Amino acid sequence: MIIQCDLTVVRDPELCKTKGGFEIQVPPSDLAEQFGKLLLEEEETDVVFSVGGETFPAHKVVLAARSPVFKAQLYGNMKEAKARRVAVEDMQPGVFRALLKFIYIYTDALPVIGDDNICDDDYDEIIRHLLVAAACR
Amino acid sequence: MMNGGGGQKRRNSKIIPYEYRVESDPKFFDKSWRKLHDAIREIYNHNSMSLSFEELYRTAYNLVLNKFAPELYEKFTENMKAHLEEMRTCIEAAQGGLFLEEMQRKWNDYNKALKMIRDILMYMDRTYIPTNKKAPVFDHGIELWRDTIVRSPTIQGRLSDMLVELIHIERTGDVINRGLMRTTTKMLMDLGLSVYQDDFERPFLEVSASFYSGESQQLIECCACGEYLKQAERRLSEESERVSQYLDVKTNEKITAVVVKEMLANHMQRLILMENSGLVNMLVEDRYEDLTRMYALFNHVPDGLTAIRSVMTSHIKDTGKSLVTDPERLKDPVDFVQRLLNMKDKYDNIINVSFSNDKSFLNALNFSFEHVINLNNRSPEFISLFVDDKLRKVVKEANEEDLETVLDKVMTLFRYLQEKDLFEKYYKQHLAKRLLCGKAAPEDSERSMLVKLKTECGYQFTSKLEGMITDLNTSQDTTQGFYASTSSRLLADAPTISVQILTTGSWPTQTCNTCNLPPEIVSVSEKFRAYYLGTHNGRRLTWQTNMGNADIKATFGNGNKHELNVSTYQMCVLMLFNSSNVLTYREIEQSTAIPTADLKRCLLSLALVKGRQVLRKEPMSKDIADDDSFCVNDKFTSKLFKVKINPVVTQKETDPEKLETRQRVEEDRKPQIEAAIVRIMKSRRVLDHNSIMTEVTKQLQPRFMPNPVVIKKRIESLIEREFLERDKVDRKMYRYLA
Repeated sequence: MIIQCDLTVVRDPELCKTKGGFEIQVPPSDLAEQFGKLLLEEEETDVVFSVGGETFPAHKVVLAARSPVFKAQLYGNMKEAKARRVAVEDMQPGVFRALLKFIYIYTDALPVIGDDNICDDDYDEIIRHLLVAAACR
Repeated sequence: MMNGGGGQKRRNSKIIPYEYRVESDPKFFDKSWRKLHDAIREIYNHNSMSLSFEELYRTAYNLVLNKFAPELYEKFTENMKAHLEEMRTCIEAAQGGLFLEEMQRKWNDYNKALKMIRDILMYMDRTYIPTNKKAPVFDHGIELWRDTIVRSPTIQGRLSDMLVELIHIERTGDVINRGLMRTTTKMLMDLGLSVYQDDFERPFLEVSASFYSGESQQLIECCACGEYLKQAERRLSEESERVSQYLDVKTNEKITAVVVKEMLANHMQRLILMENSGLVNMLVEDRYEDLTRMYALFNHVPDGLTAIRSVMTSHIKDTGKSLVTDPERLKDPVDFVQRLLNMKDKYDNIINVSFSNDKSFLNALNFSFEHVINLNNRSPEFISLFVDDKLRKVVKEANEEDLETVLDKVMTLFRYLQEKDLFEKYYKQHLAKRLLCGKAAPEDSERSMLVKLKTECGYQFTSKLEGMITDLNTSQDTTQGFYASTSSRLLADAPTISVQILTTGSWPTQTCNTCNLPPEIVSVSEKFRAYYLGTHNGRRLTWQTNMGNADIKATFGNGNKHELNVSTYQMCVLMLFNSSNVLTYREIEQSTAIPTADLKRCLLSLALVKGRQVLRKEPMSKDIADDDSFCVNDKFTSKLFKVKINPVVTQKETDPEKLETRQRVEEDRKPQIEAAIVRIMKSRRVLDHNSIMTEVTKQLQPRFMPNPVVIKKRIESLIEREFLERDKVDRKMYRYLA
């Protein structure tokens, strides 16, 4: 009797492994800084708010994106939609300035208003309330 | 950024409730509302560009802060209602076609105004309204439009009537303002899905049902079925297009159902059975386009395809029955089967092209053909003859690929046979004739057919048939061996023989008749017998002289020389005339010992067939008496050197032969039934009568449908032979006896 034995050895395929891929570092967002710069340097503004004797240049599209009230005002069918100068009554200039800062820069917390020239405690509360009311979505 | 410079101290903020300025003016609300009211009026009058959004927003804002929201909401509602009343008056005053236009214009204006008002009252929408579960400003305004205008008694009916009327106008071929229709139905959708459904869709569907009911009544009276279906298809297409143009997409399903019901479902039977143009006519005339359309349309109808399938089935059965029971058709088996194949092709085509290869239709076709083919109990024979015809011609026509296609189609018919064992019997006979007469197709083709049969019915079905082919190959080798081993000197003057050795049992049963062979043949055949038995121990060799053929060189009195191809019997007769000039029938019969029927047929073919009369008969009559005499026809002439004289035979079975074949098949079934019974009982040990009947039928069904009476008799026979016994308690129970 003859026994024939066939032996086949199967080796694992040798794959060329790619060396550990380097990660691309994505820098943290500086969107707030950019928009803050936009506001401070008053570049390419297309609307000016007149509040208590002071003027505040601004960008319609930013205001509309951040506030439905501003969107209705600036892109609606009333006179502000075509006006470059909008008068705001019943509001302190400092309050409006804080409002703009909030709209352009902050996405979370309320701003600290310490450096503004507002002395009364009452105005702090008024400011907070108006900010929430005006900026809510 | 914090300012660290200077000596300024950071002040701690303290949270206290908001203390807004409370208006003490008793006319504060009235003044504020007056301002808003006047502004809203300007908005209505398209003068919004003169207004200050900031001022108006602040006014509404202050009202809400000062707890006047409920009053503001109520005033807003009253104001909108009053405005809508004015609008309704204008809309109502519009006449005819202007009605919808005015409605649309007012709706657009109202929407614009409502959006602006909503923006002014945004603060109320965000605070007071959610808290008090009121409808938001915009939604509230929409509801007011719905209730004041669309659903007002003077407008609601008029609106839906107008819309439906315009659709009717479009259906009758005129052009309407589709844009206006679109905006109007969109308005209804914007007011709420239920508004669209209740105020438009429902009356639309009702009027549509009435319209199509009327139209279908007219069309069906004057149109042929195909034309009618074309119109129905057009209407369905039009309605779908209308939906895509200016109705809600969900309406499509509903209007389709209406058209289907009114134009198709309600007239389904009448359409299918329509005289001269209905389904049967479409089938007969291969009207693929009409059939495709009917299938597609009736797919929408409940039981629509069932109805088509039913009529198709009936028609195939009727047509098929005419075909397989027509006495004329039975005269030509090849034509008979070819017509069945053509019919099958026809309906395969229709189902493939027009019925989307619908499985239920294919099943119906198979069912119909099974019914038709088994109506004629000669179908097994005819199918076998058809195959025989094709295989005989394959060499002549040299079309093996076509042969393969044809055989595959024939196998489809074969599958329908309920008596496949009868087919096997006939196929064996026909195969035997092909093989023994040298008419067989190339072996590959013959085996190809056997492979198909084996695939269908298993090895047992074809084993003997394969044995037949193997026998011929073996015979060729044996004959070669015979001549190789025998001295050429001994065979120098002997005729050359070629022997076919047929295994008993593989070949169709033949009565064994040995006639007296001429001395020249006896000599060489005995040598072959000695050789064969010398190389195969224990074998018996019997000559089948009723088969075979011979080539004879003949010189006639007029000097003509011919080579005659004749059967074995014919050879035995002709050889007698080498030593006798005249022989009587009685003398020929005594000398050759050929059976009477065969001999008479043989002599007739030699003496009375025009062009083949190598013998002369005295007297010249069709019948043969014992004292009739035969002699060589010294005046025989033929254009051909090789003359083939065929025995007078019929390819198709005569009635007695047919009966004999069927009886033989019935006899062969008995042992098969018994074998099935024994197999079943051996595995079950105990089984009741009905179960045995069912099991046996199931086992044998692929070959033939066993007769219950025969099964019963076989059971009784097995009981007598003590394979089975009846249960002593229950006479219907049987036990297997080991």
